[in-house]
Amino acid sequence: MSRTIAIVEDDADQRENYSDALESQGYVVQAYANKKRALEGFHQSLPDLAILDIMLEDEIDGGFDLCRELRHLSPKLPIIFLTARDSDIDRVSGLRLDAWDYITKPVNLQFLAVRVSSLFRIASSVKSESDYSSALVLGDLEIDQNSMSISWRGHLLHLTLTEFWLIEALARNPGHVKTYEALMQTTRQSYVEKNTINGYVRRIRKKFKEVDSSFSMIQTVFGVGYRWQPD
Amino acid sequence: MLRTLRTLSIRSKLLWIVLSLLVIPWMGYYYALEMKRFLVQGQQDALLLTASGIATVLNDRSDLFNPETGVPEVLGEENDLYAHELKSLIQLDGKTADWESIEQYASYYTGNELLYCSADYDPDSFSLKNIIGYFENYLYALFEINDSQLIYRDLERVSLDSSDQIRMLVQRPNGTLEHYLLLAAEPGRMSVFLVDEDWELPLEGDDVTAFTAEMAETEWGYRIELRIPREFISYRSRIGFFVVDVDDAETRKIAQIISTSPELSDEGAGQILITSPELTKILKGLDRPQSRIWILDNLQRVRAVVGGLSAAAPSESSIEAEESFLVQMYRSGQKHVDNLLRRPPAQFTDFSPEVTHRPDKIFTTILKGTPRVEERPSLDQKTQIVVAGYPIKSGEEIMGAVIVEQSSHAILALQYQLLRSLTLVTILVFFFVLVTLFIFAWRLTVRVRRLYNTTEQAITAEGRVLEEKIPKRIYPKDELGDLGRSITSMLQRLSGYTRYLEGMPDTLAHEMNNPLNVVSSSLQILEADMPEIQKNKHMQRATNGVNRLRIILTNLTEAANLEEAMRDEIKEPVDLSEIIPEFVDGYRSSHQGIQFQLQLPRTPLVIRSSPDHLAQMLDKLVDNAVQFSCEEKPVVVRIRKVGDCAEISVLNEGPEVPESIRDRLFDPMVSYGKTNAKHSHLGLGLFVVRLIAEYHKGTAWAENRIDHQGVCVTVSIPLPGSEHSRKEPNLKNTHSTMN
Repeated sequence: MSRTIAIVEDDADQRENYSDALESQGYVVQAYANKKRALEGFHQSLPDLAILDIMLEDEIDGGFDLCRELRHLSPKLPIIFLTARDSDIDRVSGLRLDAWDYITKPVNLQFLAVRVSSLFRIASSVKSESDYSSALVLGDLEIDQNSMSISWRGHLLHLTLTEFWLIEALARNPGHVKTYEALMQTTRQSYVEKNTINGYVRRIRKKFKEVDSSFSMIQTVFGVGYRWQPD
Repeated sequence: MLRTLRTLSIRSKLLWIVLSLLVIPWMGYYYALEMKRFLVQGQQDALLLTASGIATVLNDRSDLFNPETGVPEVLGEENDLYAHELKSLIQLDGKTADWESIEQYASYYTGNELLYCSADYDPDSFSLKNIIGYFENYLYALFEINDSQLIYRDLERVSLDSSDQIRMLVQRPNGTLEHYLLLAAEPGRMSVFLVDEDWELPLEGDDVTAFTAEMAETEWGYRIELRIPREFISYRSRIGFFVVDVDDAETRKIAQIISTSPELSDEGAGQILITSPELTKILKGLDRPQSRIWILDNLQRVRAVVGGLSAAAPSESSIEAEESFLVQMYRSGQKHVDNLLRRPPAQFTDFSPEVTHRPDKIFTTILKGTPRVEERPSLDQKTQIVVAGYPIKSGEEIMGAVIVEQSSHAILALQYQLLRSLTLVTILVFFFVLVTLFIFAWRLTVRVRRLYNTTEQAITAEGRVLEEKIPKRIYPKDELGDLGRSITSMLQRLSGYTRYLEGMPDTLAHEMNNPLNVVSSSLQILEADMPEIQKNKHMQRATNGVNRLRIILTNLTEAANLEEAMRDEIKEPVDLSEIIPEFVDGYRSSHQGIQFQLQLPRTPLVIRSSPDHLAQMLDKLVDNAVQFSCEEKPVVVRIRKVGDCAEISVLNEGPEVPESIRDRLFDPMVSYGKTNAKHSHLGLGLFVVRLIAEYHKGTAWAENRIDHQGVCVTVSIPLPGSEHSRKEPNLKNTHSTMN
């Protein structure tokens, strides 16, 4: 059965492009231009994954409202936010909307496809509650590839997909510096700046500190990149 | 001069204006002087008029000056004896009752008047009181002699000067002298002898019966009454008296002699003057206490005197208890001014009416026929007397003069009061105006300066608005308040416009993002659908173009992103000497082919910073330096401590910065130098640098190098602890200043 993806984006051309790209991957796409239409659609039938633009027509945070609505309807639905700037990500994180990922525009359609398939895989693995045999343990860190989840000292962290990829990249080679360029690649987004990477790392550190206030495994190597501390 | 005027502050200008108010009291004083002069002139004119009036009355009245009134011609000596009119004839009875009416005119003689005295003279042992009067045909003289030893004449003796005696010296008109001796052997009628010039031997054997003298003993000495017929002492005769004291009955030596005139000598005797009664009668009507009228004869002797010289001063109101506090303060102020200025005294003394002679030079002139009026100080110098004189004529001859004297005390007192009021009021008004103006000027200057300071701080050197409102304290509804409001309005408009302009790149970028995304995603789909198109060069160019557009848009939004990000960032202590080298290492790998040199301080240099932003700033500085660096030339990164700031400088060799845009380099959208297709020149790099510098409460500036041709861009960041001090810009640079 093919999965349904809902796209809510007010710019017609972009919406069409996203739809085309995803449909060519074999998904069924429901495209909505504004919040009202999207809600009507959701009430009729829920998608398997939703991609939401934040600013919809007149409403600046229309995407947020939609997210909340969707969560009421389905707490476990994978949701991807399309953000215009890095600062939006901060804003969104603060709102605890429980989105699974954030992508900044412009969207690289290939990366979008990768993300979508990853998220579907996570979603299904969560459903099936598979074993932890594929967990990677690095000291206090536990990385589960299938569910794409990470635990630190037994605490499960709520991470977005991009954050997961970044931590995985860092933790795989403790003691080695991951340059900015390498990290940019890891994010699987186009046009990432150093500042964007800094922002991601900042958010990652903050999430770790929420469960462990003495967390300091990620070391900044100024001007070069970041490094996961060796034991 | 005008330029000096312009450079004065408002306070100084107001001070000068207040000082110019000093003109007012000066004018008041000048006016008071003028007024006094005018009044004195008026007084003088009035006096002269009075004098001329009186003189007119006395003109052709030579009978008043007549010799029959007993005024012989005199040469102006002080040795005249005044004879005063008696009410009735004198009885030569030794009683003094009939002398009472002229008792007041008595002259007293003691030591000063002595002609001769021995070494042991005691004034109490011998003194003389003398009155001369006249009635009808006779001249009377009274001698009251205080004599401790009364020695009568010894009839046995031949010499006549061997007892207490009266000597009378008469000088006849032809100049001959007659010596008369009055002796008494016992109380009663005295013997009168005509004697020789030594006063010893009689020239005639018989007594002189022309005049009679009566002697009586008194408890303190003796008394002599003398009667002389007036025809005996004629118009041109002169008289003098000597009283001789003999104290020793044995030796009969002359102990002392008192003369009635100090200068009396055998050569000349004084005269008996008789005041002219008719004259005095005429003048009685003019007797007023404020002016004194003298009639002088042509020998400047006083013939009549009426009036007085008391000063009629304007009365001062006395202080009453019910007067208000303010008035009392005013009165005490008056007293203080009294101490300051000289108040004309109400009491003074001048010539007494008994004076027989007025030898003043002005009178000499008047008696020559010229009426004169003049002001002279009083005898005790306390006040001024106005003197007016008019000659009295008889036919063509000048007989005498009328002198009217009046003190100008009244005028002086008036003038003084005026001056005092003037001074007091002037001081009060002046003080009040000064204080008011000073307060006003001070407040005004304070407000202006406050406005100036606020305005200075409201805007950065480049024109970015920091404060949009001028504080309300300057808001009262006057011109200054209007200015403040106008400035606020201007700042608001400016700030709004600046915000609009500064936000424009960001707005633009966002607007352009969407269509750009469409192009980008469309190209991607195209590639996915038709994989062979990837090799198409047009496809590649299109993709490149999209990428470049992307970079441009990113740069445009970077500044806005930065401002947002900086609001949230927390600063931590960062040691520049540690992390900068790490950055530079990164640059060495990212900018291959460029040689980087590092200059570090010897000691750690710690600032409060956000390392990510520091990195971003340094990235921009290095990008900028690399962009304009000549091939093969090194880029220098220099860290040092200057004063209480840390300076991060990036130097490159290459073209210099033109003076004209040096100020604006750090403004958004300003770029310089050659355009290179590889780099986008939106001029935002240095703007970001400035933003980050300001975020650290520091400043940024660019200058041309002196050692090599090139540019040095420096960011100065205050060290912790000195962040709140304003950094003064270097004289040769301009850069943004922030609180």
